[in-house]
Amino acid sequence: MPVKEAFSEWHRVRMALGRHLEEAQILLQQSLRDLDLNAYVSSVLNGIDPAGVFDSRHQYGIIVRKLGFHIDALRLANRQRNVHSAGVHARVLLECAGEIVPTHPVGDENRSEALERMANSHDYFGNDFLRRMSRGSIPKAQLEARVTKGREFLGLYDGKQPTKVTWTDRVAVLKDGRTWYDYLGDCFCHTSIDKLRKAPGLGGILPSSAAQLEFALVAIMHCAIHYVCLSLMSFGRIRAIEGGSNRYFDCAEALFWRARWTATPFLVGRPPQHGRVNHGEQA
Amino acid sequence: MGSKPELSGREVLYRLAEACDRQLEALRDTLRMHEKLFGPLDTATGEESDSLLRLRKVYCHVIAITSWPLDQWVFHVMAPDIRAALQQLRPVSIKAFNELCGPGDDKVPRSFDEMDELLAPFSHPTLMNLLWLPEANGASVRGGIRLLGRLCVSLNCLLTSYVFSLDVEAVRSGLTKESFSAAIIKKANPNTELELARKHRKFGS
Repeated sequence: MPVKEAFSEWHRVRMALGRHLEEAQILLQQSLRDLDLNAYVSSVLNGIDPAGVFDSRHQYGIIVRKLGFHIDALRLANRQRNVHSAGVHARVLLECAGEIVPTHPVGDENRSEALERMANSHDYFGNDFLRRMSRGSIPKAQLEARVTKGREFLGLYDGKQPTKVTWTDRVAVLKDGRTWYDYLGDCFCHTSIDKLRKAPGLGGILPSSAAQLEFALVAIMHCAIHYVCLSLMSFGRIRAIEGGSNRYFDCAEALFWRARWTATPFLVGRPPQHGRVNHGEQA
Repeated sequence: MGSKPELSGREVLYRLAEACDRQLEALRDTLRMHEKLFGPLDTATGEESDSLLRLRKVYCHVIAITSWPLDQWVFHVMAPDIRAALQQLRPVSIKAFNELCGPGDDKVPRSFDEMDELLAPFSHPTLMNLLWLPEANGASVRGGIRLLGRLCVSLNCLLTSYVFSLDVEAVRSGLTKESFSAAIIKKANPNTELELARKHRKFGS
C-alpha cells in the first residue's frame, strides 16, 4: 500500500480510537457522578470513618478518577500528535488498570494469580493503612496475627505474610500487561540515548514518515483504550456488586468491543481498507 | 520564629497560581528560544550530540505541559510529563553544571532525585498514594496550596534545568554568544509565593 494511503487509513483508525476515548471519559464521569470522593477521602483521613476506607466503590472510585485525568492527557497528546506525551500517560493508565482489574477480573487475566494478588494486596493495604492511622502504635505482630487469623478462617493461610506489590507485578496479571508496560517504560519514561536515535514510535525523536507516526499513536491509543475499558468494566462490576445496576459494566463492555473492532487493523498488523473503519462515529 | 501569615488561604492560592502561570509562560518562551536556536523537531538528525537529542525530547514534553490551563487537578496530568522531561534533563544539566563549576558537587543530582521522589506518586497511582497524599486527592484550600506549591517547585525545577541546559548547548554550538537563561529564570522566580505558602502552611488554619 502506498505511504500516502497508509497514512490516511492509520489516521482514520487513530481518530476513531480518540472518539472511543472520549466515550470512555463520558462513561467514567457518569459512573462517578453519585460518589462524593472528596468527602470520602477527608472522612477517612480525619478519622471520622476509618472503617469506610474498605468501601470498594469509593476506594476504586479514586483510582477511576485518576484514570479520567490521564484519559484527558492522552486525548490532548492525540490531538497534538505528541507520541512522547501519549506514551507516558498510557503507562499511568496501564498502572491504574493494574490496580483495579485484578481485584475484579473481567477479561483474559490469569484469574488464580489475580485472586492471589487481590488477597495479598488487600491484606497489605489493610495493614499499611492501620499502621499509618495508628501512627505505629499497633505492633507489627498484632497486625500479622490479624491477617493470619483471617486467612486461616478461609483456609488460605500458607505461612506467608502479605508483601508489597511491585509495579511490574501489578500489571503482569493483565493479559499482555507486562509487555506493554516494558515497552512504554523503556521507550517513553526512561528513554536511553540509544532509543533517542530512533523513530518516535520507539521513543526516539528522529523524524519519521507521517504514516509511521500515525501507526505509533494507534499502537499507544489501542493499548490505552483496551486497559481503560477493562478498568471501567471492573469498576462497573464493583458498582453492581455494591447494589447498583449492571448498566456501567454493560456500557463499558460494549465500548470495549467497539474499540477492539476499530483496532482490528492494528491487531492483525496491516492497514485497513478504505471505508472499513467508521465505528468511532457511532458514539 | 516566623511571623503570622498576612494573607488568607484563598489569597495564597491565587498568588501561587500566578507564580505557576509565570513558570508556564517562561517555559513557553524557552520553547520559542529552542525552536529559534535549533530549529523545529522535524529537523533532528542522528548526528546531533546526546545533549541536543535529549533536549529535543524535553521539548516534546514541555509542549504538552504548557498546553494545560491551571486548575486543582492539573498536577496529575503534568507530573508524568515533568518527570519524563527531568529524566532527560538530569544528565544534560549535570554535565553542563560540571563544565561550568567543576566536578564533585552532588547538589544537582540530589535535587533531581528529590524532584523524582516528589513526582513519582503521581505517576504510579496506588490506593495508598491517592489516599495519603493530600495533594493527590483533596479539593480543600489547604490541599490546593500544597498542590500548587508542589507544582510551582516542579515547574521551576524543569524551567531552570531546561533553560540552563539549552543556554549551555547554544553557547557550545556557537549559536549565541550571550547567555539568556539568567533573565528567564529571574523573571519566573517564585520564591516570594513559595515563602507565603510555607508561612501559611506553618501558621494558617
